[in-house]
Amino acid sequence: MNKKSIIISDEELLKQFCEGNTLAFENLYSRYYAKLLYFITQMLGNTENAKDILQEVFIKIVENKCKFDFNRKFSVWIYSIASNMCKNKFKHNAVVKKAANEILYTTSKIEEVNTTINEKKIAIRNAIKKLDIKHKQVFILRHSYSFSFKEIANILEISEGTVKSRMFNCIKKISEQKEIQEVK
Amino acid sequence: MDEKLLHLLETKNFSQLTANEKQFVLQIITEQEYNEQHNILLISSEIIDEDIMTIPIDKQLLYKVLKQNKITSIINYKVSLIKIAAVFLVAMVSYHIVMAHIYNSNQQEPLVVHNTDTIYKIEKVYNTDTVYLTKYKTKIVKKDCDKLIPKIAQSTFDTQISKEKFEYYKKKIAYDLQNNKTHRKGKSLSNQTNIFRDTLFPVEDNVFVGLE
Repeated sequence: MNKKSIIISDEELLKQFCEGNTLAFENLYSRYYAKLLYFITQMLGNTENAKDILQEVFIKIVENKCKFDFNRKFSVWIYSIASNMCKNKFKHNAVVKKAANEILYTTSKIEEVNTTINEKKIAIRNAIKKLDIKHKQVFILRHSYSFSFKEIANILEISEGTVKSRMFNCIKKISEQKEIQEVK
Repeated sequence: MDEKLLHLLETKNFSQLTANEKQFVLQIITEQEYNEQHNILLISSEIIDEDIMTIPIDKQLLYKVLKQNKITSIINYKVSLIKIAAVFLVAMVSYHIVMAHIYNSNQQEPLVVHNTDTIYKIEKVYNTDTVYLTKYKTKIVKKDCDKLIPKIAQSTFDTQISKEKFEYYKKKIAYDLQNNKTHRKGKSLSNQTNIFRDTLFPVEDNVFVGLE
């Protein structure tokens, strides 16, 4: 028996949700919850704040579900909303300064659970944490959702050249971290 | 240059690179650095995926969002009600217009075709002109003959006619005047009589002379 799983695109799910199918939204929510929470947490450095922002992001999606241009990619749209909300949060909070030093909810959780994880991974994770926000968001978007440089540029409202430059700097900065040097 | 290097770092390790690519890479970084950065990228992706995988989905948040969706739906439903009301109103108005039309068509009298034609009204044109009407005035002068004659006889005609003739003419004129005979210049009397008369009763044309 051949089982064929039909993958419905994000855009199609949103269309169905716009037509009143709540299950379609639950599906979208499941697809994006963890990724978005990780992204926002990395930006804000605080899980509780990140959850508030995430809720606002989803509410915005709900409120504008039928206004979405279905010729565009849903993922770019939702990450753009999340990114802009993070920016707004930066403007109103002094969270930014603390962000780099705070221990991430997700990473700490993982550190607790996966005690057997190798040293290099821990070192890289810590190195990512230490990146400044501008570089971190580019790096995460590239590796969490495999966005193209153009899509990242659209999400962050910066030029494609800046995205590439930041990405290259990320790799350089991570590789220069002491911990990673020691693990070698 | 960075873009090409990034692409290679993300996709291949150093051993997988072609000769040209290796040449290109070695112009920027060493083989060791390349492999190191390639590993970092690979592991980073793994780490991020693992971290994301460990995040549990918060159902409470989903319910909160869906609650918001209900509110949004109600708002949208209100908008729909307004639309329905508008459609109903239009339908009612249309119905009344149609019904009124049907009623009027039933009430119609036999069809009368009015032929219209162009009527030209010709107005009379009156030419105006100045008309002079000659109006003759009638002036009746009545004089006492007896009183006038002696004065005139004495002054004007003493040298021209005799007393007997003067008396004769006086009587004749008096007679004529009494019998309503008019005396006009150049008529009924002899030349001398005319002169006499005109002197006695100087009259203009069309002036009748009579006794008082």
